[in-house]
Amino acid sequence: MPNTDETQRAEDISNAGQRVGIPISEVHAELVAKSSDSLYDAIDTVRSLEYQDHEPCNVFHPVAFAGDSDKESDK
Amino acid sequence: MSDRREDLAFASIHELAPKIKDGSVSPVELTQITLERIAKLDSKLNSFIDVWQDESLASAAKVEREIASGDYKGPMHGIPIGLKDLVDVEGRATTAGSKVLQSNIATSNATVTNRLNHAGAITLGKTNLVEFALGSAGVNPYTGDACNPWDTEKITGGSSSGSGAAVAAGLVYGALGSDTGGSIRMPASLCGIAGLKPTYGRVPRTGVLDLSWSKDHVGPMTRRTADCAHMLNVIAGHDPRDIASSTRHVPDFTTDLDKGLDGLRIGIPEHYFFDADIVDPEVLSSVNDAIELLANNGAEVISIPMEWVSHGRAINMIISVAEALAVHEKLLAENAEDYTPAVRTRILTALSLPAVDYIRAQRARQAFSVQMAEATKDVDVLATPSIPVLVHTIKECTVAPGEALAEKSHEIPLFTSIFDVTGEPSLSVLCGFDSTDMPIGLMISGHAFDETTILRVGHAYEELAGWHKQRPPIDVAG
Repeated sequence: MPNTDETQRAEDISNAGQRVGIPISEVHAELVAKSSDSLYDAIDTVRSLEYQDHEPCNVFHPVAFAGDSDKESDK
Repeated sequence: MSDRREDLAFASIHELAPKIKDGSVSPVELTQITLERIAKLDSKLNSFIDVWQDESLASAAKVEREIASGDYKGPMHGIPIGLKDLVDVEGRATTAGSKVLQSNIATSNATVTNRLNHAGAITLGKTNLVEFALGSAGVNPYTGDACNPWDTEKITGGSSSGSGAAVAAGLVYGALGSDTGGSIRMPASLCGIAGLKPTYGRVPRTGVLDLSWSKDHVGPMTRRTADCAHMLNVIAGHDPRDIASSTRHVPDFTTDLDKGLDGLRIGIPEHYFFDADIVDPEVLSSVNDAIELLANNGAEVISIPMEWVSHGRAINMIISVAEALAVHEKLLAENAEDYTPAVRTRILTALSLPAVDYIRAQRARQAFSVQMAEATKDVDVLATPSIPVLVHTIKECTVAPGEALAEKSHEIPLFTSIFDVTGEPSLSVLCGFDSTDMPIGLMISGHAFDETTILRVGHAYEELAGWHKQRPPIDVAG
């Protein structure tokens, strides 16, 4: 029996690939879906966390927190 | 190779530098010895992708003349090194270990290449890596797997696989690696050397191929901690061409090496890093012995609750694949079939990742970093295992075409990836061997921009334990 979650994931992956111009065969989309379990576990973990009091990390200055920013040090 | 030449091959930068300066050790001889070892041993290790023999010898002759004329530039002057093959060297291919970039000739040097050149280091060539630095085991079906010098059936760890193997086997004195989920510290741990992931922004990434913009770090891999400090002294510092480059003052990272452990507070996480369900008992035993040694020699050990710390791995994974897909979008559209199957599959998993979950991960990362800073405010460093498991075989970590990704590889970055999320500096040093004589790593992680203290602890530990003096059996292996 095919895993319906994986079948849906494979379809999503194939469609997303088409949208961004990355060709993915049906067989490969299924393989990517099968390889995505740990990523989906990670997504579930992060969705369960309490981050609502925080803006996204400053992606190019991720250690700029708790008074530890470059700007402060350069004053 | 004579005992003297082998001793020179395994000498540290820290020991060699004053001898090079006073003329009692010749950079030309060091270069000849390392090139000879590459010729003799690298067919077993596959640690180099490209070796520049003639240019290296010419460079060695030039620096030897400079030093003889009194123009000594510092401890990296005359030291043979390797560069992970995602670091640009003008006129040379930067392949990232991929067929996709086999003709990608760099038009200029990376900032770190320029800095090492100006310091008088002798670059012998480019070291092997996991394709596009995306993998923790160190395998690469395109370039061939790098093999662990302690047992060539075993993985080196990745992604800086060749740098780890080459340094451990005495083929170079130091090498550059990059670290996004542990790619410096994992091979350092599994190959039994020292590997430092500096604070995010400390070392410029200009001219170094991207994997995950917000988490990519460049750093040194050497046989002992003091040598990491010498390399970091050369490569650290602001570069306006890297948007993430810090403008902070760069200290002399060797200043505190000999200050010992007195007065230092070492935090030991109560959760995750020492969980017997996650960590192999042999790893636990070696790391606990190391912590006891630190405690018996002046450090205060403080237990720290961190119920939340395992979440860092999930945050890292989401950010890594999302940013990697963005980095590779164009290349994948044009060259999908030229990627190795496992790496292509790993990147493409991000196609099913909603944008909101990437943003959630970056918000969770900010919360996580604040939690980490708060939890560790009363200690100087954290001491933990670098890797929870023993060294896998290459066969266990190899993914056959058409197979889903190998689960074995997922265990390796569980601990290292935490500090790519926070951006804090983190060092792996050798702290013993398992029952099959494979290395075990102790990870020492510190506060942002305080590499000096983790280097101090790593150096003090090495001086007390002496594990770094062990040599892999590669010279006598058949």
